[in-house]
Amino acid sequence: MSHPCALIGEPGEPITTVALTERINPLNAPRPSNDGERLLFRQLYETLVRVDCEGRAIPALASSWRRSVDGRSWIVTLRPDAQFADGSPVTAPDVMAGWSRDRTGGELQPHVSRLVQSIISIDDQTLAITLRSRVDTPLALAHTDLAIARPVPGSPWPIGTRAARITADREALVVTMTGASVRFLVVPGDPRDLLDKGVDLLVTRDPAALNYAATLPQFQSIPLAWQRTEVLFSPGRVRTAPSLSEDARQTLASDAVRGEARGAVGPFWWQMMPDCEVAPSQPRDPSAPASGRIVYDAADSAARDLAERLVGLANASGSSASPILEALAPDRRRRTYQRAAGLTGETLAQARRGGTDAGYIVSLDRHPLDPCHELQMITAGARWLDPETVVPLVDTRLRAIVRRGRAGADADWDGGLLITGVNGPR
Amino acid sequence: MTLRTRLLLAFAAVVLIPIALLAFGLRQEMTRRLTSEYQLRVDTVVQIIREDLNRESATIDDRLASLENALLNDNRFRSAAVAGVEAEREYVLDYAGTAMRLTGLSMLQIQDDDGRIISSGHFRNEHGRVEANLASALSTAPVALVAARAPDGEFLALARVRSFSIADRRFSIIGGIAVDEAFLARLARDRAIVVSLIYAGGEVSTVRRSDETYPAAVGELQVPLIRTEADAPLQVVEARLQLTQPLTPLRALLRSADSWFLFTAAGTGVTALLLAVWVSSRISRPLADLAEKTAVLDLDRLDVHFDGGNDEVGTLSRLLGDLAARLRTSTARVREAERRATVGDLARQINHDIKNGLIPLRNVMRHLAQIERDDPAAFRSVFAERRQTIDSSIGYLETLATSYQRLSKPIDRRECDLNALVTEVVHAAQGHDHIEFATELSARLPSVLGDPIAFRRILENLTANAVDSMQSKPGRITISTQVVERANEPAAVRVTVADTGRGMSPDEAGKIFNDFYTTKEGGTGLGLSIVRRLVMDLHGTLGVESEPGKGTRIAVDLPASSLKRT
Repeated sequence: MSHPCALIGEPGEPITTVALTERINPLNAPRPSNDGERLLFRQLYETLVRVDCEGRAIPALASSWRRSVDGRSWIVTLRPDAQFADGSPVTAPDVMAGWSRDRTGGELQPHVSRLVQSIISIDDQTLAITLRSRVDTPLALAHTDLAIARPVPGSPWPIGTRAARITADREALVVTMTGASVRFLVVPGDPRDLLDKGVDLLVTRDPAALNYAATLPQFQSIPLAWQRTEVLFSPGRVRTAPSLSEDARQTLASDAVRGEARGAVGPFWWQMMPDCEVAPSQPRDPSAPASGRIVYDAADSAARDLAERLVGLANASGSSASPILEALAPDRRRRTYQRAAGLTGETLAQARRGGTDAGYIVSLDRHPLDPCHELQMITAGARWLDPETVVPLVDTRLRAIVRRGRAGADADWDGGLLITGVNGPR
Repeated sequence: MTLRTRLLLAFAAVVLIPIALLAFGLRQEMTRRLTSEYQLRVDTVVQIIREDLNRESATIDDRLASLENALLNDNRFRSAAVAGVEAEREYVLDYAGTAMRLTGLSMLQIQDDDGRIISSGHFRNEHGRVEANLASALSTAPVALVAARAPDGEFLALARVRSFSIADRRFSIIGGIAVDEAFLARLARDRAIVVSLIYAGGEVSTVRRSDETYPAAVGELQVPLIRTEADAPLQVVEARLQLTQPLTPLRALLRSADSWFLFTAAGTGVTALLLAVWVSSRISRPLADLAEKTAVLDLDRLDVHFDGGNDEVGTLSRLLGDLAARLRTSTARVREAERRATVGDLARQINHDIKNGLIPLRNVMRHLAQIERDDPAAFRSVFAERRQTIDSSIGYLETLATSYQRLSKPIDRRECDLNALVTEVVHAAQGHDHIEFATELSARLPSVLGDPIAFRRILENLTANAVDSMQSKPGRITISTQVVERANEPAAVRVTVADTGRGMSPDEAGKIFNDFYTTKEGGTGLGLSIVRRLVMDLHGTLGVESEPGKGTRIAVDLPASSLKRT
């Protein structure tokens, strides 16, 4: 009987070659910035806890956890055989060093401190961790921001708890998991080329690749969980503004987004956080002039499609445009969406902070491990934003193109895949 | 202005003015010809661009024709666009994008018969937008621009349209190539020519245009621009394809020519300067020598030797030499005549002076004879009274004789008291019953420097002249002295002899100091002439005021001595 979180129900030969088409930057490790890094880093860097596809916390580097006597902290016990790829054991001080700013166990790194309030080493195997969220299960410990890694002098790649050999040339980056028969082939370019090269698994949303795979009998296309929700942040939008109907969302998904998309389906976690402490928003004056620009993350193809569709609708006329624009931009005389601008990095963050544009298409996790933390992060990056005015647009997901007869990949709660050929004991 | 300067200016004018005129003329001609040539070139390029646009438009039409054929045979397109098969909708939405890339176009739309975009290559998510009448507007213009929208803004495209029918439904393919800087640069061919597309709301140019305006050859081409806006009627406006050939090469050429002209002018100026210096030195040196010799030429020095020569200056020098020789001869003659005249004058002056000395003696003698005859008892006392006059006259005659004896000697200069001399002369002149003598002497009169005999001769001549002017009629003679302060000059002592005699007309007054001029019967005309010479010898001045019937007033101003006043 197959595991409920197994990607492929039928048994088969283990997956041996996994293809990635997005660029992998080792300097980001172990915190991924795109889907390719998300897949690869999950294999290389473990967290203390995993959350399976049904939302249950399961052991990873930690073998067990329990609440402290006062109920404020989690007493986490490390797996006795947990060790880094170089063979050195993973101890409680190693976890503290990995999370602290100066690797001495002192002040926590910013991305860690957003999730963890404090950490105390009880002994070599035991830690007392106080999370910022008061929850019944320590799901936050599965966040990739808390993956355990140790820097290696002279190497851009930090060392994790899974051993791998990494080679790179001008065309490809090859990550071969030591002691397993799996290798990850990173070749930026047309994903169809990788299918032709005989890979076993390709995770993508590229319509051309999906269409091509559909014509190849040796592959099957398996949809992953709806992973992301594209939303619209509109400076000046008020809570009483009309909402976007489900039909309009679906129209947007089918008319605008190339690849796997649907109208965003609620409930939406950011609308269900009454106990989450979020800094009060500083809304922009609705009458303040906007730039007429709708901004999106240039690396997010779905966001680009949506931004361009809104620009197309703003310059169109007729019944197809009205329901959407009346909900998103009731004052059409201002010709709200004049052009779309794809930004990256600090430029994008700066634009969001300023809130002087007509709108921002933002991709949110559908199932964040720590929703409150996620919401705080969102509002910290756009202080003018009132979470109640966030407009959900479409949900997107990836598809796994798997060679028929192969098996051995589990899906996690956050949509990530774990290749079981390199997985430890489940 | 020196001769050298004049020559330099003359050379400069003669050389530089023609050069300047030549430069001006050449500039004008070069500007006219090159401007005309550039304009012709621009006009030719305008014509070529017109043909290029037609050719580009025809090429676009060919590509659209290929697409039309492909679409007519495309069952998936037919399924989606005509039969409405939902599964093929994505195919239609993405069709234009793929087709646009395949055909090398930068703008492509497929519209249905309502003008609704069902697939857009340059803006995939533009579908649904209605651009009614765009196809019909494009079909009437073989070359037209369309303001096309892209997600990140507007761009212009040179566009064509083709229409076709599938199952009684009409579709239009509108495609074009972007009219951007690269396209305009291709049209221009030559980097020197700037091609700009100017339209309402924007401009595309092969170079960034500045506000500064330079001379340029300009040509224009009108191209219709079709603009569609949501909820607004389609607009067709004229866009101007402007070609500008900056006259930069002409400016460079003119600058180069200016440099050469300036260089030539400078060289010519220097040459003119050197030439002027050389020529002026050749001309002015003999003239300067001549001027130097002429400067020392004087009646006392006529022995200057003038060199001759073959040129004009030599001739002038010879003429001056002849003139000096003639002057030497004339001067000798004049001096001889002068010597003779001086002897005559001297004889007449001695005669006159002796008479002046003898007249008081005669008067005294007549007076004594009259006393001896009429009142012998008083003879002794009168004699004693008049003896001083006799002694004074005898002394005067002796001094006169001594003076004439010393005539060749320099004039004797010593301090004299004019008031005392006036008193003495007035005393000697007494004896005219009808004449009343009066003196008005300044108590603070400074002494004067000169020969006392000369002063006395001046006073006696003036007094005698005044007595004569009475013509035996009763009257008054007043002799006064005073100090005259003069601006910027030393103070003078003025002696005035005024009478109430017959007076003179202005004409007569102007001649009284001339030699031998007299209005008296038996007069010599020498008295006042002698006064004039003596006053001049004493560095004094003479003035006369006279009115017929009222009298005459003669004033002698003599320089005061620097010694203290008496």
